Amino acid sequence: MTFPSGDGPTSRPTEIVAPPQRVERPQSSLLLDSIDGVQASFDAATAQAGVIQRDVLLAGQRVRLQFAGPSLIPAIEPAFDHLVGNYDALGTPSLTVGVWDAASTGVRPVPLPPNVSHHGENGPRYHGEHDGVVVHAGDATLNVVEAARGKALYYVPDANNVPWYQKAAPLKDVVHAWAGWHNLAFIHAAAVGHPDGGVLLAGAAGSGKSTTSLACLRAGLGYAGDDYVLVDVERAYVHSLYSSAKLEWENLDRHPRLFQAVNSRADAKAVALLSRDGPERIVSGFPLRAMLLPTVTGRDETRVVAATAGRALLGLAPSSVLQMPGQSQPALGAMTRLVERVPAFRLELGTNVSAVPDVVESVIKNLRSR
Amino acid sequence: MDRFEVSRPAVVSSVVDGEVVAINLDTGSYYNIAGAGTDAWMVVEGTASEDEVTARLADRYHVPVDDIAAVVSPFLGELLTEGLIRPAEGRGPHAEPTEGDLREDDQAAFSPPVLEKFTDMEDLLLVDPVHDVSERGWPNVEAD
Repeated sequence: MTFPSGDGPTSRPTEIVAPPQRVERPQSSLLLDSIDGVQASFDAATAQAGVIQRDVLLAGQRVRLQFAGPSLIPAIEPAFDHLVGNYDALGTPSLTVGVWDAASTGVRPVPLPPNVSHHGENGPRYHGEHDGVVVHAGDATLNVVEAARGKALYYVPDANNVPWYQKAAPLKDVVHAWAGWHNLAFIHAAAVGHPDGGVLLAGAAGSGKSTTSLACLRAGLGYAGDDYVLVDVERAYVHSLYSSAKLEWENLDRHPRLFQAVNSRADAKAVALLSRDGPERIVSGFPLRAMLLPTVTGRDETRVVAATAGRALLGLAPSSVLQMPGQSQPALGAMTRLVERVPAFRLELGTNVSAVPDVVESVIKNLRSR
Repeated sequence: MDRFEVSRPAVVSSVVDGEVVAINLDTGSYYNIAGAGTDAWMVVEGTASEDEVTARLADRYHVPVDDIAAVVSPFLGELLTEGLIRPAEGRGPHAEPTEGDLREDDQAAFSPPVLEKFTDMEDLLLVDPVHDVSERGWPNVEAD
C-alpha cells in the first residue's frame, strides 16, 4: 500500500512512544489480494478530491487520518477533537487510515469476495481475518486493517448519511482491530476519574451506567470515555478514545447546561461532545483503580460491595465482545487478565443520585492510597 | 458414545475465579458456569464424551459415578441446547484437553453444575448493528 502525503495538523503536547515494529505482508490470499483493490479505490478517491490529514494520539501512539477531500471530516474528527495534535516527534505513525466516501468523490470500493461472510442467527455479516489482516463490512461501511503494516482503509457510501452512532464512535472497527494488534483492549465501558486514578463503569443497558457517569460528570469528576475506551491491560491504564457521549434524550433534557446534542431528535439517542461542552473535564487517561458494576437497587443508600473477578468479567466482557467483530477470544482473554489484576465492586445505586459521585470518589481515593 | 466439543469459533470462553464466562457470538447470549460445571466445561474443552466427563468428575470429587451422572447428563444437555457445545467432529477417542484440565484443588467439595444465562445484550446489538450485509459479498453489487 502507498498513501499520499499531506500537511500536518496543529501543534499539541506529545507522549513519546516507540513506533511498532513493522512486518512484511503475509502470503497472498483472495482476501489479501482484494484489499489491494480497495487501496486502489482510495487512491482514485484522493486523486479526485485531494488529501487532508489529521494526526491523533491513541493510547500514546500516533495515528494519522487521511481524508479524501473534506466531506467526511465532520463525521469523524469531532469525536477525536481532544486527541488531535502535532505528533511529528513520534515519527512514523503507528497507523495510517485512509478515509473516503463515494458521494463526494465518485469512487466506490471494489467488491469483496463472497467467501468470507459469516452467518449468525442475527443475520449475515462480512468479516475476514488472515494473518493480522482484518476486513469487516457492515452497516454500509467497509473497514480494512493491516495492523502489522500500519495501514487501514475506511469507506462509507455518503458522508452526509453517516449514522449517529458511527459519528459518536468513528472508525470503531478500525481502532478495535489495530488495538488488538498492540495489546490494547477495546472495552465498552464508561471511564471517570482523575489523571492519577479512575474507574471503569461497566454494565448492560439499564444497569445505571449512564446515570452514574452523568452524576460523576456533574460532580466534577474527569471523563475519559462514555462508551468505549482503550485499556493497556498489563499497565492497568485507561486511555481516552472518544470525547463523545451518547445519552437518552430525556437525560439530555434533564441536564441542558451539561450537554448540547450535535445530532437530530430523530435519532435514537442524543450525541454530545465533551470536547465542545466541557473540554476541561476530559482526562486523556488514568491508572485503573477499580471496575464498578452499577446496579439499581431502589434503596436510599448507595454503597459498594466487593465483586468476584468472574462477576467483573460478566459485567465487562459480553458487551465489548459482542459489539466488536472478530478477535473475540483474544479480547476475552485480555479482559480476563484485567479483572484478575484490578479489583471490582458492585455499585449498588441508591435513589439519591447526587450521593453517587462521593461513593465513586471514595473508591478511587481508597484504592489510590493502597 | 458421542463426544462433545465447545462450539468454537461461535462460542468464546474464559475461566476466572473457578467460574466460566462463555459468550455465544451467534445469539448474543452469554453465560456463567459454576460449581462442577466449570470442571465439566474444562474437560469438554479438549473434547470428551458424557461418560468421560462423568468419570473425571467422579474421580475428582470422590463421588459415586451414578450420582455424578445424574447431574452431568442434564447439564451437558443444557449446554447443547444453548449451542455452547456440539457433537465433536474428526476427533479421536483419546484427544487430550486443549485448554487446561480439571482444577487442582484436592479438597474441593462437590457442588452441582450451574448454568446462568443472560440475554440483556440484545438492545445493545440492535442499536449498533453489524449484520446487514449480503451473503453474496460486499457490497452487493448485483442489487445496485
